Amino acid sequence: MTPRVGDMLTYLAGIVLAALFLMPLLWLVSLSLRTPAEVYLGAARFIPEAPTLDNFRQILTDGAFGTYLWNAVKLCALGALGAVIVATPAAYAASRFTFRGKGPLMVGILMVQMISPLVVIIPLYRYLDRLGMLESHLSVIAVYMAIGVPLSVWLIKVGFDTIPPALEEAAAIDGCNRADILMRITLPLAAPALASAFILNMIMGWSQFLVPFILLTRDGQLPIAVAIYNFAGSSSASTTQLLAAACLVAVVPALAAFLALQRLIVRAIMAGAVKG
Amino acid sequence: MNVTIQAPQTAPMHDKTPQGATLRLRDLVKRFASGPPAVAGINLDMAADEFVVLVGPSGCGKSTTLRLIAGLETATSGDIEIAGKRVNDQGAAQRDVAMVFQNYALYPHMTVAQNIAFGLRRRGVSRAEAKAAVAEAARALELTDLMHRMPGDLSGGQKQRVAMGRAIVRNPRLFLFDEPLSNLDARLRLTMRTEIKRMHARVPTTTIYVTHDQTEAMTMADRVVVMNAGRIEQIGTPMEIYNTPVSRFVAEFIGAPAMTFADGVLTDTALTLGNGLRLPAPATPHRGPVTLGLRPEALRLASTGLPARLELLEPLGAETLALWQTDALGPVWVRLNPRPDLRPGATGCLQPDMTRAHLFDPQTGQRLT
Ligand SMILES: Nc1ncnc2c1ncn2[C@@H]1O[C@H](COP(=O)(O)OP(=O)(O)O)[C@@H](O)[C@H]1O
Ligand SMILES: [Mg+2]
Repeated sequence: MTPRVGDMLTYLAGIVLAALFLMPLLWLVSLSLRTPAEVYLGAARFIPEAPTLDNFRQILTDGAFGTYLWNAVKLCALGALGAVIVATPAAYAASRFTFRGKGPLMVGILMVQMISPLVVIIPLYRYLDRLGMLESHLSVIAVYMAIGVPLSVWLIKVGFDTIPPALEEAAAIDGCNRADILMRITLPLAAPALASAFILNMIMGWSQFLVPFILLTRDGQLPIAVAIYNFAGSSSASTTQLLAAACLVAVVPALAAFLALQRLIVRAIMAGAVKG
Repeated sequence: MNVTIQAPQTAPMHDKTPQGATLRLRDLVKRFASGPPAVAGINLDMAADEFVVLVGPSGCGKSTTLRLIAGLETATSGDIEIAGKRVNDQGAAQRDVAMVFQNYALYPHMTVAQNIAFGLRRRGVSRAEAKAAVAEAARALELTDLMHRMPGDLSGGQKQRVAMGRAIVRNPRLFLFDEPLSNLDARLRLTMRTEIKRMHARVPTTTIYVTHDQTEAMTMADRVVVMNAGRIEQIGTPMEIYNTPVSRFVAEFIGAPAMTFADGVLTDTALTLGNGLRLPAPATPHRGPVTLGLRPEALRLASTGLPARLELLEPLGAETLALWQTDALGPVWVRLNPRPDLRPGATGCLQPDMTRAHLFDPQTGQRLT
């Protein structure tokens, strides 16, 4: 097989994959631009005859919608931040110190990652109930943190591994204590890894549905994903176009942010890779 | 627009000039979790502003010794005294030493100027004072035009200068170098070697310089410390080490081309080599089995002596090195005048100058006198 054929196959696979993910998104766009009457025409009217932004106007002027969006951002961001803060000292120890049982411990941490929240959600619910922490954002954030920590430890550890210990030694000789070294040398140099971990946790949290769905019921506390689900379940089909608009508003900023930040991360990691 | 102004050669780096400190190592031992001790009982006394080179083969404990002095490793036993005060229990930050690492260890997220200023700022020097000191160090090391570059954009030689700038700007009590030139090409290594010595002459500071390169050791040191397997084999001036090596190990390690060795038996009248060749007995009360050592300048071409065949010539310009094959000594290096009238394959006789011969105990390798 010539490299050219290989390239073409790669592109082909890429196009198929992109189509697979883009079709539902385009379908959403199509629905969100329709008038209620056009919604009933289904796939026959993929490009609406009279496209309207009315649905978006309606969604965005609805105060509750803004609250749901804000709830989602708050839960994700604080959960991601918490996970990175908890994971960083663990990752530092894993990278810089040798101790007995380190290998099995690191594998064990990764194995926690493989447990789906689905499996533990019932005991988790009872546990948080006992603690009186149901119906609170704090409990959701804590669970997001717990879910995010294992992968974050690994990601950040790998980031620390790329920082030569000699830099920390040079800083010690330059008069820094351990805290100074961490704040002025190690953490700044690990910034790409810390940012990657944070953004990955944000994305994981954003696509999280089950945890807030189970732990939160009060309407004003719900994040957007759960709110849309409730809305869809409780209203007639005549609101399909509104639902589609809501979904787009919920998904597109996340997608845009991810694409923008991804480029940033890649650039940061490349800068780290060539600094040699 | 930056204008580089060369500092006068005699100008001190700082107005306040605390001289370098004395250093004393007493029975210093460092044992890692496994293997023999990396440093196995070292004693060393250094005068203030002395330039000492630690030299020895890879793995003999040079870096570990340096890191013990810097406070980057904790000693298993023994004492480290800087300026007469035991510093074993102080961390690296408190010892007020500076170190130039083999890979420079520049902070990649800081500019050259920030790299050099970092240590000063951490030690509480004011921003303005630090700025002035950094500018001065930059001028001395010709770094002025690079001050706003990042380390990633510098060549190896420039990184080396920045690493030195970072060290000298602090005016430390001790200056430690760990094989600082080993990542540079041969020409740059020569330039930097001179540069470091000039810097030391201009701003004298107690300096320990680690290298595995015997030429660097010979050319730079006030005193050379030859290390072997965690111990000190010999301490002395370069000429002492070269002229009277205390052991076969030192004799072998110092000097290029290397000394030639041959086993023999010494009697009242002659030194008889393994293959029966008899040489005049050197002036020594010692009798019995010995190892003879001859440096390239202890042999010359003559009409009588050891029969030899020329294998190859290495013209160096000012002189030519010749490798001869002999029955009695095996291959031997001899220094010849620059343009010898010889071709490889030629035969001749080599006459050893027994007044310049070295004798070692074949069992212990110790020097016999
Ligand atoms: N951190 C360490 N852990 C275990 N052994 C070490 C460590 N550092 C050095 N050593 C060992 O100590 C010995 C001396 O090492 P080193 O001081 O680096 O030698 P040199 O600098 O002369 O090449 C070597 O055998 C090396 O393997
Ligand atoms: Mg070394």
